[in-house]
Amino acid sequence: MTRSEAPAALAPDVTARLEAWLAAAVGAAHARVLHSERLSGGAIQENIGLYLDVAGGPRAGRHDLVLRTDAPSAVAVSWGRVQEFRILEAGWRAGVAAPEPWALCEDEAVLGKSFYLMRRMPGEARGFRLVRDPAVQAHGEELAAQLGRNLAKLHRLAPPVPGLDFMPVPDGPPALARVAEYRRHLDVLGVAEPVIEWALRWLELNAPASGRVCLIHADYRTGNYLVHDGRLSAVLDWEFAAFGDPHEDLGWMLVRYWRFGVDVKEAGGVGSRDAFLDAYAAEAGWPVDRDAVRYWEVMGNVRWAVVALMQAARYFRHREASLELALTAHVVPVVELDLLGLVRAIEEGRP
Amino acid sequence: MSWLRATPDLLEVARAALRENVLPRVAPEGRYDAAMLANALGIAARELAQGAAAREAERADLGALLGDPAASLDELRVRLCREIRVGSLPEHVEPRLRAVLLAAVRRRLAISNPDHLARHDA
Repeated sequence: MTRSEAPAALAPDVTARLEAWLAAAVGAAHARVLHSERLSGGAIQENIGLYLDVAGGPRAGRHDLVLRTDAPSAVAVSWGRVQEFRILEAGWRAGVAAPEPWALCEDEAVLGKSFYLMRRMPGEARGFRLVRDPAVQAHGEELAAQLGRNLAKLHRLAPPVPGLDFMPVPDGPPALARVAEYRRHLDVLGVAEPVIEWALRWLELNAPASGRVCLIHADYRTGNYLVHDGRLSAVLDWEFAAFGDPHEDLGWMLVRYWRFGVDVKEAGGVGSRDAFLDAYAAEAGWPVDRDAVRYWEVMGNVRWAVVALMQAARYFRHREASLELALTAHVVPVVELDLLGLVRAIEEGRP
Repeated sequence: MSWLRATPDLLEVARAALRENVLPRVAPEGRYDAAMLANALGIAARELAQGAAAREAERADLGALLGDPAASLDELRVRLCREIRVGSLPEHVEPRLRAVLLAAVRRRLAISNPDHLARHDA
């Protein structure tokens, strides 16, 4: 395996503390970090790749892992690493394609903050590249089906789930909780966006009654899973997981933005809507309510518009000098056109 | 008129030069940024050319819808959002509301992303 020439991501004293903690955590005689490198991460987390040599104990051998910790600019809009580790464990136990969770460290004396280790999985996650990968294009329908079956496994988990007692269970229709949440975001931003308000009102008036509640990933879309040789390798980024309506995950995957320009492939730019939903239903063993999926597609488009406005605000309000953030404001009318068209299509009973 | 004024034309020329002369010679790792620059120049050019008219058209539409033709666009948008949220607009207004919203989105797209609008209409 080739190693990058980048400098080690961890200082020697930090590495020594990490090695001592790790050896104890996995019952090894000793553990050695052979290589560490900073991986691309988000504004919320920091990911460090570790190549390890473990001597003795059940984990003896060499391992490629990822150390995931909170980034310095972490904001409290999603779960921290401790909860995320518990969620990843629950998903892994349920048979979801995910990085195997290794160990959680809540002792801040080791790195100065909580972190966890998981297996490093192969593959490409970046959406724009993934949807144009020839292997993905060759196996797109099967990949969409894998994404559907995989999600159905996750959705088998209904509260109470061991280890997830920190996670609230909705006491009303999950859709109405989302409507209230997105309205709060708009109010905090202080923006008046009539199309988004109109869509939120429609979502409020047409909210499905409370149905099945299960563990949802809540950010299950292209860009958040790894594909290796055209096959699903691992689902990443579990920090938004919640107990909610399973149709929310289905609708989110179908939002146009996650097609990264390959618009004809409605399921995340890789395959068809039917391949994704039919495989999901077959694995889940319960019929998918296609109307509910479309309802949650509307919700997903509202969510993305709100997120885009929040990103644009980082540029316009907080002077974060980023052309990418500034341009994000210009995706909002694209989403708004979809919102107006989607609602019309639903009301007219068109596909 | 002065030829020294910043004009939409100047931005359009800059964008064409970036796309045709610079982009093909940019190393792969710089192409995403270069494409974003070209996109930003295009938006700025169209905003200079069409932005004021688009906002005035939306203001006139919302003023007529809400029966307040003298109000500013900002005032009208805030008021419309409030009325939509609490559901205080009469039901018979809904079709006109949707037409007004669609027209505003289309004017906005003609500035932000005319290619998407063209694909949508195709």
